Amino acid sequence: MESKNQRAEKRMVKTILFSARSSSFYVNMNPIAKFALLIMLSVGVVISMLHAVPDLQYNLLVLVLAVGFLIESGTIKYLVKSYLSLLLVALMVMMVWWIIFNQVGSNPILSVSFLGATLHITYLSLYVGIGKVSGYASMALMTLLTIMSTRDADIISALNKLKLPFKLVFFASLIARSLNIMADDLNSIKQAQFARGAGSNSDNIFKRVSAFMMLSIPLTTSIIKRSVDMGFALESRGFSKTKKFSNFIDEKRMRYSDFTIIAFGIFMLLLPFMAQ
Amino acid sequence: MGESTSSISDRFSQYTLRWHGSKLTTTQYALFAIQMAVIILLSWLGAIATPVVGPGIGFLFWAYPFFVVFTLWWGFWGIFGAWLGSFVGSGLLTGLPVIPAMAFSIGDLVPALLIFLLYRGYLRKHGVDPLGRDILKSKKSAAWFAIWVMGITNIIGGLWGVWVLVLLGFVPASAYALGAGLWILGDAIVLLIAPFLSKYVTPVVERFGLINTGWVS
Amino acid sequence: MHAVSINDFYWRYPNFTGIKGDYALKAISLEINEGEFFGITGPSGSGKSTLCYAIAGLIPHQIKLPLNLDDGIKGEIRVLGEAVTAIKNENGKPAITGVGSMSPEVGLVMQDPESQFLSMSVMNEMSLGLQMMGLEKSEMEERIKAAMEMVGLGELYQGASRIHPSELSGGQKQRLVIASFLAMRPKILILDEPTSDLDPKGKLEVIETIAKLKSESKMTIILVEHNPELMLKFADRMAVLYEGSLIAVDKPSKIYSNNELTKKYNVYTPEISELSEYFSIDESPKVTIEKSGFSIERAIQKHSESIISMKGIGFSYDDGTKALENIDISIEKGSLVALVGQNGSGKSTLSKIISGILAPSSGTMEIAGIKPTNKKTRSKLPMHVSYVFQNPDHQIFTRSVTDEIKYSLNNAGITGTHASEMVSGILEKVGLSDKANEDPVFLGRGQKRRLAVASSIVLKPEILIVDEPTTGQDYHMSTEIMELIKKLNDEGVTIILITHDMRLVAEYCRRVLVMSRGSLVFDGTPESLFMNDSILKLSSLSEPQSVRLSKEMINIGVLKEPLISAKEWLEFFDFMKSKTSIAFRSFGDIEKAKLKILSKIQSFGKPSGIISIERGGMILGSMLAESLNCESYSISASHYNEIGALTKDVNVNGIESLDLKPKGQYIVVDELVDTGKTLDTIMHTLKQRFPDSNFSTCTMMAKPHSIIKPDIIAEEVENTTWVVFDYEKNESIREFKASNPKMLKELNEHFSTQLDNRYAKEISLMENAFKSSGKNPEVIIYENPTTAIYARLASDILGIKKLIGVRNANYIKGYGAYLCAAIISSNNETAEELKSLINSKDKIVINIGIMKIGE
Repeated sequence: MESKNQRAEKRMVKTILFSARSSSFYVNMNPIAKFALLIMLSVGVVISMLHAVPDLQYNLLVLVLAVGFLIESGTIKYLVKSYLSLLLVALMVMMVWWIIFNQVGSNPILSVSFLGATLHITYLSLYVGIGKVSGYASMALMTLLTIMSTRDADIISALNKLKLPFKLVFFASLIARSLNIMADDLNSIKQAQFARGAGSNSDNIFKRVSAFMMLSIPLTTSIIKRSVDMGFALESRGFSKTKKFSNFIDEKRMRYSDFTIIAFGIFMLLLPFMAQ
Repeated sequence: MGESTSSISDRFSQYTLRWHGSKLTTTQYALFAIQMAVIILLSWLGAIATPVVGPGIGFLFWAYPFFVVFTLWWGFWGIFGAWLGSFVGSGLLTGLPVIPAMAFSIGDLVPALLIFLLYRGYLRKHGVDPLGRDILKSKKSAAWFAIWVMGITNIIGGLWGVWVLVLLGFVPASAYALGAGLWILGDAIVLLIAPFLSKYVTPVVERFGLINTGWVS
Repeated sequence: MHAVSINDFYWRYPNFTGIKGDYALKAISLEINEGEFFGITGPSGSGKSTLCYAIAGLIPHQIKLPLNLDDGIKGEIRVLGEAVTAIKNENGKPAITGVGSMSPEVGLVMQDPESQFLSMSVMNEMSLGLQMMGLEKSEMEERIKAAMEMVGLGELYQGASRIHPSELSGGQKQRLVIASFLAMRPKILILDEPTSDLDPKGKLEVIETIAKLKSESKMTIILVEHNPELMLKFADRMAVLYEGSLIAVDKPSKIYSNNELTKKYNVYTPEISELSEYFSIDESPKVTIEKSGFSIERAIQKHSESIISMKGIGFSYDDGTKALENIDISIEKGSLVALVGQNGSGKSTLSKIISGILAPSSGTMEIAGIKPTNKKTRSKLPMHVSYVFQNPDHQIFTRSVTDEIKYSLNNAGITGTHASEMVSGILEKVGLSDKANEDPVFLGRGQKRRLAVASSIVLKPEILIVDEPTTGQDYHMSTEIMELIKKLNDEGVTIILITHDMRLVAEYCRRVLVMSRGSLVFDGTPESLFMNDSILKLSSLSEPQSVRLSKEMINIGVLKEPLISAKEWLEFFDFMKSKTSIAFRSFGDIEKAKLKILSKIQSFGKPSGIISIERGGMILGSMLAESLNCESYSISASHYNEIGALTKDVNVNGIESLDLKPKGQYIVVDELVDTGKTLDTIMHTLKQRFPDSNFSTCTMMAKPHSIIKPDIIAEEVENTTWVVFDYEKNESIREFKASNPKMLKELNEHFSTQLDNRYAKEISLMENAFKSSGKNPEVIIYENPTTAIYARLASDILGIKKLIGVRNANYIKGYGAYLCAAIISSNNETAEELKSLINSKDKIVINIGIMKIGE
């Protein structure tokens, strides 16, 4: 009984990366609308970033949107646990690069001399850096949001809708399925090697390279074994003799809300131009 | 061609640039899907687990040597895997925005393609193992590997990838040379694994009869 | 028409490079009837899976073959009248013909459910085969629902499109695979070891599904399985494969009763068939079992300092899932502990924490002297802890069997000829000498597992964790591996054995840890686990066949406690056959023995102290201590824990109260050394605990079959003799009444006529005292050595087996929790002191000097 209730109240649903809230608006959005929004917002940000001085307000607006949807879809906790530190490092590196390599503006806040060269940090260079970083962050969060709120089955359904041949669509689904299996295998191989004192956490790059090399034999064995199993599992369901592959899952229809989202995406895409 | 090279070339002659080698089995179909999943995973690991040079770029891109050997083994599927790994694994899954990820992934597709063309075409005919098993043995093979795989194709990939980032306004134009340099250096380091992979792992795959003799099968 | 008909079939896996391998299937001719439940068994690598794949048409049609077909394939396979595989001559060259996979008529369920899932939702998984059949949506829905209900997954149907396969348990996964084929309505369903990767609960779920299939469908079922109990239960007929050849096809009961065949071809047999001299699988028992007072003497958990100590250990995954919660474990150096529980119960996580792979989220621990608090200290653990994973593929990373072992040795700095000698030695032990130069990738699953075990144990780590070392091994190899592990344990290596095989637990382990949902729910002996139905149920474990048989015997009063393995049953039968006479010994006999012993002790010089083993050695020990005027200590070794319950750990107790002098000479005293296992364990424990002291052993009586020969023996008795002492009157009568009416008569006669009554007065005083107190003590605490004799007598009167001898009141502090204790002392002062230390309202204090009842 307990498991029945758990199923009936299933609150989280497994997605490509981690899980998301099953009743969330963003999670249930048609994947085509979701990807369209992602592309349009990204193009909008790229346009903003192409300017010598990026449009900070626009970038921040997209950033706020992304964070809002991350909260709404219940994916924010996974993002915080797994990606936040990574993203912060990337953003910091980006900021440093923009400050060092983009010597613009005339009123230095700070000047540093290093090996004969002088580095100026100006209001403008800071503003540009923040603009770039916020733009990048907004796009990165939007991308992660899309990945974390989309189920692999949604992608297959979208590909089906594009009327691609069955074997091609199924191939994509098999890649998605294998990601799960191979991630487990890879993790297990690394742990198994650590247990034999083979893995290396050394800071020496060459040691790490040679430790990684040790993965190759078990990894290859695993690839081959899994492919034989999967090939046999497929074939015992009659894969190679399939003439007609009938449709089973109802494809997600576009709803009004999906069209609204696309319209919103178009608005956001045009916004930088309108602002100009 | 002399006696000895002709016999080596006989051993290599089955691995060519023809479109189809033999009948594609369902197991191979599954194998190609799985190897792509592995490249996506390794690309992801490479991008997130090693020191970051710039946005979305991992210094030690673990997937590189693997997709090089996968390409030598599985032709089209390896090349496609290299692109997909880069687009999805080190792109989308690491939070690299979709547009740069798409453009950026060409930087792995092209080197993979060029490597396959050279090894299965020109080099095979000139006594170099088309599967790269002799890189650690023969000076000629080692030189070709250093020039073509660690050098030219890697440089093309690095220059392209960072150029895309500059073009999209992610990296300042004045940092182009340094960014590309670090990318190329990092990849060259991990590519040192490739000859070992070829030497130790290729015989396993070959013994199972799972190496493509042509582009697709 | 036969469902399957195989005619002289040969198959060899192609080798595109290197030498040709052996045939995986040789001259197989077999017919399986329609509607039959057909079993296939045989050791690992015997060709069982290959045969399944061949019947399913996957071999050779889905295997990449060299362009020139050689003699690698011969013969014909027909399924439902159709040629699945046949060889034809085309232009003088052999060519493969036949239809290949017979889907949907034939379904195939393989070992690992994980890699058989091809889609990302339960619903898609169910629909996949039907979609390939091109069915209409409504029909698919109807079939999916029916099939899921048939395997007991009906409740998942509603949310099936939102459930990812990885969210299911092992048993559910495999049932789903079965359902996905059932929906295709096959005529033949092949199940290739569908339960081998599952935990006991998963196994049970799948077995129930199979049972349902057998009773409800007319399908032909082909089941590959090692488990003889399943075969006996389900299969109409079964085949035994060995090295690719078909050895026998017959009814399971006939095959398992054929000892010669099962031994020769290493077939796993039901545990009970090891007792085939006494029991028969399909007939009534061959022996009449009488009631007996038999009590098994099991090896006792050795006491030493702890090598693994964990306090409050918890572990949570990134998404917050708690894998472990508040685990407190202390594992002693040199012990062999079983770690059991369902998949996902936390066994692997715990093992990974012990071996340093994972860092706990909370708690403290010390492993082999290391306190792993950060990444750096954790990375030192693999040097002390070896962890052999369940999947050997993941732990093998060189290109030859020899290199694999050498890798471990080189890591430890062992090279050159010494390393080579060690490699060949260990390969010999695990039966891989002939594969020394083979590429491990191409070994069979069982062989890979042996290689993984070998490369871990070659270095004799301090702690060895082995995960399911015997899965996929034939009977012979399983025994070999376990003996190897046992030997390592004897040499002092601490071993944690993760297993689902309760036979292994019963036979090799003296301590079991049971995990359930991230918590430790049981820590005790196998026998107490097997008798604890609630824990068995909670953790979905099932007791071995031997225990089930024991439980029935206990119910009818034949046994007092369970016999947990076939080995113990054999000991029981030996005992039944061997005990033929009783020898009675009185206090007078003990005194005579004492004199004899004293004269022999002179050759050792005066000892620093006497250590009596409770309860047997108490009387003789206290007499010797008094005569020699030396220190007197007592320790106990029993299957009872410190509160006297059988359900807990087996221990050597009281060792903490020994304040022995370094270089001192001590004599360990017992009344009777029978098999000698207890004394042996005690000596081992003492020597380990007090390496600087010297110990000798002394006994009043000893039997020749004892595994340890005491240094001083007053008298030898036959192995077949049952010795009864006068001070055991009540116990003996109670025991013999229940178990051996024949001997009871003799016993009664003895006690009514010849009892040595020198303590009659004290006995009757104590009897009255206890009676009038109206209390029912659980333990007797006595002052040692002064009151040892009285305590032993009180133990007989009250039927209490738990005694604690204390040399002064300080030693009693740890025993404050008794609900009721009888305290026996010689003077008021000590009695009061002891009384005040026992934290209980319900005490009886007996002062032997004045015989008064307290409280």
